[in-house]
Amino acid sequence: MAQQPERGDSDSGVNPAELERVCTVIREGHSALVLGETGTAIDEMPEAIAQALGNELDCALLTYKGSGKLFFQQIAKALDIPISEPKLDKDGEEIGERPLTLDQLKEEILMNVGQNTLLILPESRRLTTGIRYWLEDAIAAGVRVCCFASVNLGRDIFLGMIEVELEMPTDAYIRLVMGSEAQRQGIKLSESRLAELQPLAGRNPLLARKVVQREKLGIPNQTPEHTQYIVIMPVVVALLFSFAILRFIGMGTGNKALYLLGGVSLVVAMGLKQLGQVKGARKRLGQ
Amino acid sequence: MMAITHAAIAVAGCSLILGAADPLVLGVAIVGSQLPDIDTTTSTIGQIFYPVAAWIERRYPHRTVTHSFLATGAIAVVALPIGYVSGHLLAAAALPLGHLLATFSDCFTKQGVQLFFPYPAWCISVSNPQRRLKTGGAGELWVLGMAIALLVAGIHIATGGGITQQVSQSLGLKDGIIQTYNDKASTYQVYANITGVWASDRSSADGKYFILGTEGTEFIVTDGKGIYKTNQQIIVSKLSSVLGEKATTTSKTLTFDDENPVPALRKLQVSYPNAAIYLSGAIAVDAPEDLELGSVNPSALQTFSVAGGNVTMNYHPLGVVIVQLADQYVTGTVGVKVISGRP
Repeated sequence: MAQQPERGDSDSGVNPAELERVCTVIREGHSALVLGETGTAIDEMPEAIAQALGNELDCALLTYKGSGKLFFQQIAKALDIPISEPKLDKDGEEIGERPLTLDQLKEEILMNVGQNTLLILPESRRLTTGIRYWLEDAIAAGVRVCCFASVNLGRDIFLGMIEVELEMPTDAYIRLVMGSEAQRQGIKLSESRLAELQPLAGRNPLLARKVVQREKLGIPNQTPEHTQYIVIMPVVVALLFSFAILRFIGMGTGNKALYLLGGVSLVVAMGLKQLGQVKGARKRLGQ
Repeated sequence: MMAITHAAIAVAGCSLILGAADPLVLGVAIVGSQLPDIDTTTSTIGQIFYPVAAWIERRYPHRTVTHSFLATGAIAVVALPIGYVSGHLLAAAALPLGHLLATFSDCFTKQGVQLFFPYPAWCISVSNPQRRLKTGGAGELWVLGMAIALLVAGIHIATGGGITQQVSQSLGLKDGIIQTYNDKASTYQVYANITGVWASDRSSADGKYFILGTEGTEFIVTDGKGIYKTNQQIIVSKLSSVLGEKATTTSKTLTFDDENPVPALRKLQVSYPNAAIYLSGAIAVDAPEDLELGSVNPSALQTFSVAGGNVTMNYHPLGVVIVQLADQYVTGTVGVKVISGRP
């Protein structure tokens, strides 16, 4: 099996300094919202936090998968909280166990959690309104929550959390990920080819692996999927508009040629700006 | 982008921005345009400087460190002082400018470039990748074609004295023509292509005239038959300048103290055998009644006038002066304009 690339001193993509920063926030009694792009260390950070704080706090690490009851059952299991109650017959005799209802589960968990409890919740944008409202009560009861998302959703529980933004990996790390993935896929990519492909991945390890996989499959790699870009067309248009300065210089110095040139350039720039607004269909049929 | 597209864009841009048609400047611009691709061993320049390219591509993704304003600045810091010291500042400026234009043009490709390296943001032209150029694709070929067209235009404009001069010439703007005259008259013959009519009878005065000088914003011109002032003898509707052969224009003064001017004037004539020489100024003559005024051309500028004992000359040809003042004793100072390289 290919050796995993290293980032900093850790064995995963998690930066130890960033991990320590998040742990400090939680140790200080706050809830944390860790922000990072999908495919970066944010995917590995929840497990790392659980390992780092597992000895100090009662940790529950779980991702909401669509079932509220299952979600709360997983919390309860992780925190050793019962998820069932005795089932009694009409005479009051115990004849077995029956699972707690969703509301009972919520109540039961709230009664058994406190300041030593840490809920680690990757993919926090999936959390339903009901879960978020329950988390409000949990936080009020002293529970520390560590959520993970690509952006701050900017509502209810997220507003009160301390944000920790994860830094993007370095280019060197992305190169290592690509090299490692190429080795795993059994293909040999030269340094030149890796340098050529790397812009398509930006600084996202997920995309870095994907780019190598596409390369192996022979699917053309041309368009980057990463989001680390700046659209500079406004700069180009502003540069064209700056030719209008010539008009005023010409006016001030009495140079008619410069005056005319500046005026014509300004009009051309305005025309180009309008031409840039020409748009085709933005969505595909069925999109 | 392909190396040839980079080169075409850089050369076209340098010729337009620097107003240069010098092969050295354009050649340096081509070199500058290839420098960004030194970060990959697959490029031409990367293969020439293989160790450097291999070193860079091991450490950086393509289109980052060498495709940045930082790299342009570094090149400028090295090139400009060398250009200043060696006296080739324009050529030195073409190196970072060629690099900048090539780098900036790569923003229009699908992948973009890290213009602000080490800030890790890729600069792209538009967010829709379908509207960006594919390297070697049809879009790039269009860009290449347009760059070559711009290059031709740029060289044409640069050889015509720059873009403002071209506008002046095309539109017949007088201040631009005067600037051309002021820049070139000391070393070249400067002609005026005039479209207009004679003030005397409104017949067409279209033609090519040699410019003798300026008076305010008007030109003193000659067609070999007479001397004329624009918007006085010739009503000009459009005027553009044309450079002729190399010529040297010098100015002198001659002072006479109650003496016959002919020996001094002949000496001047002998000193400049192939020159057109014109005199301007006012002198006093002792026998104005004996002056030979010759026939007066009503369509031409009056270059010789007499009032009492005073003679006033305005771009009066030397040969005529020698004849007219042959028997006179004169006092005063006249200016002499000598155009070596008779039109």
